Amino acid sequence: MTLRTIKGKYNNIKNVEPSKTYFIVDYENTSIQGGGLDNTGWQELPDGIVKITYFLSTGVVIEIPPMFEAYLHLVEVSRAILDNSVVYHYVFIKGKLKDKIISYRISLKEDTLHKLKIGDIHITEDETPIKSNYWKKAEENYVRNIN
Amino acid sequence: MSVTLIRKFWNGSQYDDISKIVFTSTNIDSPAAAGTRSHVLPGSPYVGTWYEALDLQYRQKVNQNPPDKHECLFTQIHLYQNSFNFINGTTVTGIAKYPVTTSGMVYYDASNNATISTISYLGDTTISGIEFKKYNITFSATNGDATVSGSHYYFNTPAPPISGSNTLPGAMYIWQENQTNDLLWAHPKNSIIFEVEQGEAYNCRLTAWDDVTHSTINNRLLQDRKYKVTCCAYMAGGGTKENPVPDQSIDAMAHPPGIDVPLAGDDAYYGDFDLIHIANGGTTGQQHGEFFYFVPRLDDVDDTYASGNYDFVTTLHYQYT
Repeated sequence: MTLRTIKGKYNNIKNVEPSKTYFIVDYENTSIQGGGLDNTGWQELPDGIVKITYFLSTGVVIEIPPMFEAYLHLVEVSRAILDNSVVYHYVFIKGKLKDKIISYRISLKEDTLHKLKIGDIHITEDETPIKSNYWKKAEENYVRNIN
Repeated sequence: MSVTLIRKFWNGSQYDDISKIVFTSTNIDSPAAAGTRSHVLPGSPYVGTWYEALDLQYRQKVNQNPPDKHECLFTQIHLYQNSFNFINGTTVTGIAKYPVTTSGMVYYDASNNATISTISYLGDTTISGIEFKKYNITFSATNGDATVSGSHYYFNTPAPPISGSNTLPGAMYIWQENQTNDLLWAHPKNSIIFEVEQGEAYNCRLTAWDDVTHSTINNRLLQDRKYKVTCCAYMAGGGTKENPVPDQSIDAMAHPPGIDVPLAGDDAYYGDFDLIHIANGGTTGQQHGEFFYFVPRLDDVDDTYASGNYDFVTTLHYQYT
């Protein structure tokens, strides 16, 4: 288990180690491992995704069900304007179905003020679909007809 | 990198890397050595705003005064708590023509006013999830200046019909470049400037926290809403990287401008908006960015604040791929 600790005056945060938190995307004939949170490599991935698995530096492994038409991977951070200190909040894996988008929010932090733990998953349906040039299409044989 | 955001400020001769925002007495020559601080002298203005680079610090605001005109990079009209009847012939108070060489107008707190002479509806647009109605409106300024007009005007909802006497609350924004920076309270040469050099940043939110955990606001300045920014986020339609000119297309603005917006954690912030890198000149060949500008200030911090350290952290929350 690898964690980074951020100590504040009123709160202490345990954050995943960004260089050891990454995805592995399975394709029909190969797999591609992403970089850490600072350089994920998502933009360079080809289409044809079969499955996404997420590995946190704590040892937690999260599998995203292989049923979506397309996927989008996002990292949420807060970065100080001036000293570049950063808190990693969440990873989002968004899956596109025929007429809706399902979002898997994976917590990358836990602290002394909130109940959320590293690796907790919150699944929601997006009310406002995000516009991005980096949606990656799934391999057609692995898309389920679910709405 | 998945997204590359650079930040700069204008130091009087070139764009420089910023290392600190400093609020201290203005009783110091500018530029001064980085790290210079001073007590407020009796009878002098309270703290002003400085930007500090690694070697020098540069004064940007000489006092804590709020924007005397609701201006920023775009010429714009903010109606705020005001309202007016949206019909031809209506006199709109708080309007003045500016600058004289272009067709732009900005809102003044002064008693200037203008009269709507023509209105035409141009369609809808959505900016950061807010639906706007687009109108082409011709104003006749009543201060004796020539008639001013433009073709990119937006009202936020609820939008009125073209005729009738509906009262319009809220704000109206005008997409128009300001040519003369020194007459504006906030502009590229006194702002902290973010540019997306690569990739896309989603749901950007500028706010402030009391420390590096970015989770609490136990700081009197933040709790009293004393930390404020004037800001906007947009795609440039021309100009240079150092002095980008706002594009006047329907999608130019990433988020409506914020005038004197207090920042305090999740309770008070500017956002949320997307910043997308514009590659290869965009659709016109001249577009670039996107850019996010802000000018910070402290508001009315006086002797009721005891001497001490009120440090806090300004942060940009965002998502990237």
